Amino acid sequence: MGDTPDEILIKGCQENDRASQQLLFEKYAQRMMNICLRYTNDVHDAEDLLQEGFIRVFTKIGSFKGGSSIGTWMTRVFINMAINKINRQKRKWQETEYNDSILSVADDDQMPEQVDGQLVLNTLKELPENYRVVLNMYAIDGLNHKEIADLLGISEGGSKSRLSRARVLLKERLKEKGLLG
Amino acid sequence: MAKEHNIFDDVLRQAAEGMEIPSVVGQWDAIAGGLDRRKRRRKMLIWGSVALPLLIIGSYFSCSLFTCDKQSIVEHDAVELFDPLFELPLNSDGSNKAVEEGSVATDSELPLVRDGGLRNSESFNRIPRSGEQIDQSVDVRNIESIDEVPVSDEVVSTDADGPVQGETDNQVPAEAPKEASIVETPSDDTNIALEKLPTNKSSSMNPGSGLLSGNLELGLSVSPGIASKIVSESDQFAWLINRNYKKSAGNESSAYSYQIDLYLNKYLGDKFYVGSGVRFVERAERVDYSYKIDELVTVRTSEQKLIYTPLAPALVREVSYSGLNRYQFIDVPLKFGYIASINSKIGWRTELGLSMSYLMGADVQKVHATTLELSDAAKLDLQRFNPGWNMQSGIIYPLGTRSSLTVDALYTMNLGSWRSAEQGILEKPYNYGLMLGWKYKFSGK
Repeated sequence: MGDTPDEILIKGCQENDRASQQLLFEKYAQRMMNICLRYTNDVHDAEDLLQEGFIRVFTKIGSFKGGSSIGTWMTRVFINMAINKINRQKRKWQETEYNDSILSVADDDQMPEQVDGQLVLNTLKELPENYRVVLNMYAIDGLNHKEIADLLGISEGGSKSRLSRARVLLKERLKEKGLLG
Repeated sequence: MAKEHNIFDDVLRQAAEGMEIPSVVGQWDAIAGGLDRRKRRRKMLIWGSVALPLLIIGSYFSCSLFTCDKQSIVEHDAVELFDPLFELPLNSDGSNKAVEEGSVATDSELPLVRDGGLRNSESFNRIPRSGEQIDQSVDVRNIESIDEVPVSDEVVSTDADGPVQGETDNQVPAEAPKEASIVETPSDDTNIALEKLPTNKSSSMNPGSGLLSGNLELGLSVSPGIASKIVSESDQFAWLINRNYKKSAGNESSAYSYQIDLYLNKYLGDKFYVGSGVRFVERAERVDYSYKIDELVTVRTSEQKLIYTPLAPALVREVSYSGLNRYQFIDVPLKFGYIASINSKIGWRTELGLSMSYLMGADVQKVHATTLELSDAAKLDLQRFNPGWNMQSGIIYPLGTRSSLTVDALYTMNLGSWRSAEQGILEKPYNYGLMLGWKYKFSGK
């Protein structure tokens, strides 16, 4: 049943069929857990987010119109849930103005071809939340600045400057660890 | 807007893809539990939204009843106070024929008065006896105390111009001649006042006015019953019905229904009343589907026809579903009723009314007429507001002077289809059942 087409699973979920819900969960749980782990920084928080996210998915799947793949739609739902969770904890995102000079500094740096990905991710987790989240959204989850700005309630300029700053900070940390020259 | 390419982002993306993920298998149970809890909460919310208005309405009428009780106590006291005057003289058989014009109260009849409302009253001796006359000009409705009743030992004038010689209490003959009309008939005004005042002697079994006194009635009833429906095709959209629909949706059968009514009736005279209130209705139908979807259906609106294309074997689906479809409504009825006595113990009533019902919730899986897919309430496009009519008829058994038990046969039906005509299928639901209730009558303002 692992290769059941998404359309069938979606239909089943829309009809509140528990077996279809379980199949959809089994199919996408790893991918969603990846998101949860990157946004929460804590396994227990990530598990909570995974549960809340899937419950949200199953209760809102009736509104899924099929404009994108179910995976993409679920990714947005989970990122939304993660942002809401962080917002509840932090309450407010600090606005950082867009600054070209920061961006240019970041772009000038060179990335070695061979680098330990897990170490980079671990270093990413050490960044302040408002930078880490934007870097996750842009670099890994593929959102553009407008989408990020909408989700975080900041301006597009704020999203850009935060991304640039995040890159700079990450590279500085990697340099400190000797991962970058 | 094209995204800038950054090698740094590529490294991050690759790292994220290769990230170690802890096992998530155990998470499913928690998610399934969460979904169940959510479903239960939703049900509780529905019930809560029904219970809350009932509680508010119930509280309101409880307060009204409390207020009415106080008023009735005051009125009752007043009646007790004047009963002896108005009903004097009573005969030993309990009739009050003596107050008719030309009749006389005798001493032998007076003890009945003593046993009445003035048993302990010092004013007893002031009650007019045979041979006494009362002043007609006194309006008894303005008397606030029995002490004010103008009774003279000697003479009570009937009018200002012609005082009539009377006799003292001691001078009352043991057997006054009955033809001697010396107790004056009260004036017409006083008669009206007497007629309007209720008396405790009223014990007729007229549920509308007698034993069950008052003109406002609060009732609560529970009606278990059976839900069913009349299914037909829409004249305009019947072409949208899948050729396999009847075969697929054939196994739908009647199930239970019940309703809880809280109502208020206002009597228009003794026998007729109008009423309204709020009622919660749940109806259910049993479905047992087992069929295959082996055709792709395309709707050609311009030609008003369906095109059937056989599905590849791998895409053929079997639908197998058994369960109860439940619908919850809030009804607001407007009823007209007639009530009458059957005998001294039991009354009978009949009601006919219209209602507007609001579909609060529906836990439904039904076959869609065109696609044959199992569909919920949203996809079936069930009408939220449905007008209906209802009829009930049954008996009333009084429990006391104000409350009574009711047992009625009940029939309610929608006036129109609750499925939109655009689906081709029309469903007109109806319920019939036994309505068991309790009602309480109280005086209105």
